[in-house]
Amino acid sequence: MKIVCKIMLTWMLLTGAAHAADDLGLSVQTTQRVRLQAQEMVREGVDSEATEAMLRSMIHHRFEERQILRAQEIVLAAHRNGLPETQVMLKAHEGMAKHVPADRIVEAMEMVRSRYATAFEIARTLGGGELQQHHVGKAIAEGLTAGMEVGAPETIARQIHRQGAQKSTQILDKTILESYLAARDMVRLGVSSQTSADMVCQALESGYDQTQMNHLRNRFRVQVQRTQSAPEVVARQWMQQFKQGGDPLTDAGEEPTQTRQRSRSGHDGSSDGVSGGNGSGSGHGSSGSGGASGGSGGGHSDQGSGSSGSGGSGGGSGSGGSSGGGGRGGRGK
Amino acid sequence: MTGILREIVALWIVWCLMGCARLDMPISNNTTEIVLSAPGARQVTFACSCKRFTPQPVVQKSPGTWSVRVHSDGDFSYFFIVDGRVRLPNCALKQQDDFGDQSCIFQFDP
Repeated sequence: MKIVCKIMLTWMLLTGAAHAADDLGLSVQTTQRVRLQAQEMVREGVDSEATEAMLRSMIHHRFEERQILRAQEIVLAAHRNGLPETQVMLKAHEGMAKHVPADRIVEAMEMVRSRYATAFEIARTLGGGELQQHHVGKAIAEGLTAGMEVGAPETIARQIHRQGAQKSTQILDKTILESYLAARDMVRLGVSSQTSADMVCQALESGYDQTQMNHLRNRFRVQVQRTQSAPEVVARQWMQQFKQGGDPLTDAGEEPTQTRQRSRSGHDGSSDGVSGGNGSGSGHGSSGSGGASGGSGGGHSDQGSGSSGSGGSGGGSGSGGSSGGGGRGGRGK
Repeated sequence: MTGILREIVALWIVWCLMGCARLDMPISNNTTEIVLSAPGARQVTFACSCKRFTPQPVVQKSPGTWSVRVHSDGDFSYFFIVDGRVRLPNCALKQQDDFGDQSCIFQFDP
C-alpha cells in the first residue's frame, strides 16, 4: 500500500510537469532545451528561484521557444559580464504585466543588458573598488533608464577626471557616486539629459564634494516640488547661479532636507499619492500621515508625504499630507 | 493503513507550507501606501518591481480612490493597471520603460 501511494505521488508530480509542457504548446524536446538552458543558468550562478519565476511567467504568457531561449541567453550574458541580471529579468516581468508582445519584451531585455553594460563600462573607467564600480554603474544605468542620453554620463566622467587630481581617492569615490545620483534624480524629475549633466558638471567645477552634491540633489527635488516649477526651469536657474559664481545651496538659504517621500502636484485634480509606512531602525524610516487621504481639498494637492524615522538616525519627521486644504507633503528633516 | 495516510497528510502539509513560504516573504518593516485616483474604474491592480510586477490587489478606499500598501526597503518602480490598461499616478519621479511608456519610481533616501 505504501508503495502504491508513493507511485501515485510520483505520477502526480510527473503529470504536472507534462501538463506544463502541454500548456506551452511545445514539444517535449523543445521544453527540454529550455530546461537545459535554465539548468545552465543556475549552474553558472543565476538565482534559481528568479530563473524559475521568469520561465514560469513566460510559459504562462505563451512565449515561443525561440523567445524564451533568447531571453535566457540575454540573462546569461548579463550574468557572465558581471551585470545585475535581476534587472534584465525584471524587465521581462514588467513587460508581461503590461501585456507587451513577447518579441518586444525580449528586445527590451537586451536593451537593459546593453544599458547596464555601457554604464558599468563607464564606471570602470572611473576607477575605485569593485563595490564602488557596482554602485556607480548602477546609478549611471538608472540615469540612462530614466532618460539620460548615452553621452551625458561620459560628459560627467570627463569632468570628474578633471577634478580628480584635487581630491583624495575616498572623497572622489563618494563624489562620483553622488554626482551620478544627482544627475539620475534630475532626469527622473523631468530635467533634460543635457541640462542634468551640465548642472552636475558645473557643481563639480565649483568644487562640490559628496556632501554638497547630496544636498544639491535633495534640495533640487524639494525646490521643484515646493514651488511646483518646471524642473527644467529650476535647473537652468541653478546653472545660471553656478555660472555667475554663486551657489544654489547657499543662495536658497535653507538647510537641505532629505525626504523619503515627496509631495506632488495633482495637475488633473486626481488624488494619487504616496505615504510612508512604519519604517523603523533603518535610518530613514517613515511614518507618513499624509497622502492616502489626499485629493479631497485644495484641488491639486494629491500627494501627501511624511516621513519619520522611528528608529533611524537620519529619519525624517513629517506630517503631511494631502488631506484637504491644499496641503503638501511634510518634509522630513 | 492509518500510518500511511498520516504519512501522506504530513507530506502534503509540508508541501503546502513550502508553497506558502515562497509566496510571502516580508522584506522589512518599511511600508508605503500608494494611492490612485481612478473614478469609474472597475478593476484596478498594482504592479511593482519589488514583487516582480505580479499584479497585486488594490483596495478601494473611497469611491474612485484606490490604495495599496507596499513593503519594501529599497527603491522600486511601479504602475497600476486600470481596467486592463497601464496607468501611472501623479508620481514625481519616472523612468522610461523600454516599451514606449513610463513607470513611476519610489525612491528611498538614505
